Amino acid sequence: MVDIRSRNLKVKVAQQWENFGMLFILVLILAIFSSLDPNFRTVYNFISIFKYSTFIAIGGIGMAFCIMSGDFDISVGSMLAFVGVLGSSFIPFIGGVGAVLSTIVIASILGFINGIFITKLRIPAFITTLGMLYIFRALAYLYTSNVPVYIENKFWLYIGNGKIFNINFPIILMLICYLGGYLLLRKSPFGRYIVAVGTNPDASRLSGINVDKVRIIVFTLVGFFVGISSVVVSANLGSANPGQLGQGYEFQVITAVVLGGTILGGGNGSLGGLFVAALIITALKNGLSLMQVDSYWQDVATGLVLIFAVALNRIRYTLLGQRE
Amino acid sequence: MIKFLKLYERFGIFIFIILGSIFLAIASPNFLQTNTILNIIAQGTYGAIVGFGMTFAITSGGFDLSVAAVMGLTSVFLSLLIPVLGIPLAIIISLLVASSVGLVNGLIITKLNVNPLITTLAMMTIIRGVSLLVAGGRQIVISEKMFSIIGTGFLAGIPIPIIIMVVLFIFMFFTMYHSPFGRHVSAVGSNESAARISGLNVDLIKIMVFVLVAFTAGVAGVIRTSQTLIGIPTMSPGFELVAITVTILGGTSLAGGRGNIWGTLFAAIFISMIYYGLNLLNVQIFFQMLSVGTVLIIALFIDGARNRYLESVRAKGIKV
Amino acid sequence: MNKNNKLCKLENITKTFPGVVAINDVSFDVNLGEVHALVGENGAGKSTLIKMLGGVYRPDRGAIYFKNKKTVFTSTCESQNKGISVIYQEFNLIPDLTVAENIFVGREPKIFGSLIMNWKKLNSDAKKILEDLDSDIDPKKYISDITIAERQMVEIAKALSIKSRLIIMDEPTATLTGKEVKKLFEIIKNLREKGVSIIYISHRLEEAFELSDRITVLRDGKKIGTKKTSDTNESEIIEMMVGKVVKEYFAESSTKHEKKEVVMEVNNYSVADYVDNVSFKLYKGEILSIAGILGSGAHHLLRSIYGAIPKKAGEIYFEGKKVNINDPRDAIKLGIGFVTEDRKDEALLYDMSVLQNLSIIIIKTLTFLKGLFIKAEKEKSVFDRMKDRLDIKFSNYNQKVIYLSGGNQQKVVIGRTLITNCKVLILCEPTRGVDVGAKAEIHKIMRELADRGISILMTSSELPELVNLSDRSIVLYKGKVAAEFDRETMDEEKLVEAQIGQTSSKIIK
Repeated sequence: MVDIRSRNLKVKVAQQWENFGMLFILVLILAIFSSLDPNFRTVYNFISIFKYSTFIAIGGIGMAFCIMSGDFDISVGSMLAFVGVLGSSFIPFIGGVGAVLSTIVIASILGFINGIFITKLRIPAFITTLGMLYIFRALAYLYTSNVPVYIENKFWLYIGNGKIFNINFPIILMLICYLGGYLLLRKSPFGRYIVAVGTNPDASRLSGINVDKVRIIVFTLVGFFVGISSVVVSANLGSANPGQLGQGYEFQVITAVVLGGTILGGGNGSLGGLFVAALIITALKNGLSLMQVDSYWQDVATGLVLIFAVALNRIRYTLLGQRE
Repeated sequence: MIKFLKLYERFGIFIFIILGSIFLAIASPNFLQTNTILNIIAQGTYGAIVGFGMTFAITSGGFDLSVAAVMGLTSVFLSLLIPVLGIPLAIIISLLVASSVGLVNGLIITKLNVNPLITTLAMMTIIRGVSLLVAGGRQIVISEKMFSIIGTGFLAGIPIPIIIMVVLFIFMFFTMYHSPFGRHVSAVGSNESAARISGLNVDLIKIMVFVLVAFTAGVAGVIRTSQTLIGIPTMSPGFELVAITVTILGGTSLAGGRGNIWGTLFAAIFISMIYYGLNLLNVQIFFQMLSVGTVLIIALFIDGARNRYLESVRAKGIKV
Repeated sequence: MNKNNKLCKLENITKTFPGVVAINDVSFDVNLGEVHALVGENGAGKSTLIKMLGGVYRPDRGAIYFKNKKTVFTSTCESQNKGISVIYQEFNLIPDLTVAENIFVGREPKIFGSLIMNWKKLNSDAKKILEDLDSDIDPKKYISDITIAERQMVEIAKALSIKSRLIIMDEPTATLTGKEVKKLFEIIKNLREKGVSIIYISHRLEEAFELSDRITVLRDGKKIGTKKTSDTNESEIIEMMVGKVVKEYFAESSTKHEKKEVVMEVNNYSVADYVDNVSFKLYKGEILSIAGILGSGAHHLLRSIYGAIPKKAGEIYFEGKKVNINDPRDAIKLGIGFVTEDRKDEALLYDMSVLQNLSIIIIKTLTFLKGLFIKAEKEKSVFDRMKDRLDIKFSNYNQKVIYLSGGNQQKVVIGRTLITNCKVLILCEPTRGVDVGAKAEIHKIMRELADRGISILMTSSELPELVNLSDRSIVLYKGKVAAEFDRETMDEEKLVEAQIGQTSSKIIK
């Protein structure tokens, strides 16, 4: 009897953790850094954490869909760089608005190509996108001859730096993206299909879902959100550097999605968790660099966070008894 | 057609090598000289050596993205240890450090049940961070000139890296096809649950595979460091792609169970031929990255098309 | 019989999985040199029980004694070392290893300080064991290149090579030919003489009677009883397996629908390796069962009709029109529904709620703004209707489907298909893994559906289900039609005979 009660307690903890665990960690991190460093606990710094978290948070939406549907895309960092240099180079010809739109469209097309490779040839996603990771990066270098593209277009820069009612535009953009992502995932049939395919592809197929189509659209969506992120990130930096843009981005984004509670291997996930996780990662980096911790330690820390997050999800799932 | 496909799986890489050779022979008058050929093979040694390890990983159904980072770690340790401990001991300890990364990979994958891709992706970042921390963010020059003999010396007219590669090849070949361990690796990759039920210690086998991969990465790190005489914490970025590409191009099935050590060896030489050809064209270095990525996608394309074809044949009731 | 005669003893074993009690307080023992038959219908718990002996599962409660010592098998390895080997129904052979390697996997003969395989000894040892079994399989062949029957032999050879004290065989004859079965029986009898104990699991009662010393019957996870084979007879065992109560649960067939209107016609249909040139007609409002043992092709035929696996040849006419079904989507569009036999792997969407599981097929029709958004109210109302009709029990709409009982899960899966208003419903093992009460409910639902004019095409490995529920039954044996029965001519005995290929002349057309 005691046995069962302690198990129930564990399950309850696991369930509450699912809802509030990440929020708890965020508050903990904010509290620790705030008490350690006066520069951290300023309104300005909090806003900037919020702003920088959008880099990860926006790209994370597509990745969340991708991981929920049971796949992976590790080409996003290079894709971000490639579409960034390509799109920003269009500015002189088609203007800022056109360039921004074409960046997003090109990224979506690249995602679509990934999807076609993966579904039609039945190659595992991780290895296809691994190849694409290097191809996109090489194309970014080759297209620019390794010379950064400086961005002076006002519209483009506004997307990364502008303000509406004193709120940073990236934050507004992120909120719009989340609203869209939420509606798609929770209120549209397609969202159901994403989760269904990730949970049980065989059952999905027998239920008449076009599994390949769902996966292709998911990869296209990954590209779409990477396109938006690319504009935001490059606008913030004021330039698109083929070597540096999006370096390690896939890593941060996957970490955020997994830390946010989405299970590797597919199934239901959480966009809210992703958003909080993006804040956690950004706050961690911000805090560590304010305290002048070596940037190499930051890499080590993010790596550990990722492994920790995956292991944590495993344990939580085992406790809830949903998987063996 | 089916016969052709079966042959392709075993010998497909030779088609690439022959076509590549013909092309290079036409394009470059120097190509058919012994020196050039030895040089190309020598350039292929890292890819082959790490590819051997990767072949084991993929045969077991796993995957390792941390190999380039391990090379960097080895390089840093060598550069720091050689002045203190002398060359032989420094090499041994560096290789042990490299192998221990594999041990950590294996433990995380088997005991924490984390997907190999994510584990090694995270470890790639962690190990690179650690290398930079240990090296203090710098490159460290090795003043012991004797050390360069490993990477640049000759034995009986043959570059020492090639000799190391051949020795490792023989070792890996026997391990893969004729040792119980190698067969158990195949078993795990072929049908993990059956291997478990047959009483194999699947976790231990997987851990040993990751130690082996990290060890090969360490060996490649030693050779590379010896050639440059610099300890480089960020050595060979993107090298994991080369290792994976040579393995898959060599005919090792991504599905696991069937490793092709021969294929890996020749695929590494083929990639080296591409590099040589690109040098002839005098194009930007980024073309190397592009070409390896493209070769990987092509190799996957062939693999995928083959599987689809076999599937359709099976549905027609023809035995494959 | 004194206590030392017992090789293995299980005491009050219980094992539960989410939603089901698979084994409920079962005690069971095996004597030295005894062939002990374990019988029971599908889902009775036989596989779970032997998996606990094999070290795959650990019992929740109860104790296992082996050689008079209390033992906990934590791994398959441990159970093998102690002298138990299990030949599972789904073979545990490694396709990319050779026959010889598979026989000796983990125990290979080695040379050079055990670094290198001793291929010569490995192959000759394997050859010897296979020869003892009168088998001429080449030990150097890869498993992926040999036939299913040959794989069975390799499994047996593997068990023999371990020198096990207890060999457990799960349906070993399902894929063997008559000659091979005879050979196997000889081997089993030889083993018994050498003092090896055998737990023999089979559907085929006559095999149990020919071989065994004792027979234990399981039903619904409980032990019904153990009988000395010489003291009992087939009908007693069948009664124990089926249980008297079950009979009255079967809803009576009605004759409302005249067999006139053909809904679907399947002509000369073949599926690679499994189904060979099968033709039949499905009438409106009838329950037609395609019967057959494992490997007969019955499941493959139904899956292929639904488009889940490719066909090799054949035509399907649906409501008089020739149709092409290459994918489940095509079948759904025509109005064909399908319920798989593998609820866990092919039907349930674990991570989704009861509501979402039920509506997944039709969700795109419950939308506004051109299919962009789901009408939550409509989804709920559709769900409620189906919930009432099938009497699905759950705690709230957002409850994950995994927490439901097996019977309610099955109702969700059936409901998911019914909600599409299909005209033909294909059911594979409609009551697998559900408890007795839910079983009866599902049978009742099936009959009601048929009465409403839906044609049901089903297959089941439970004889009573076949006999009592179907209006007509077509029996497949090795992919071919072996017999056809209608309600008057059908009985369990004839059905069994036809399923194992022993029909004399009773093909009624």
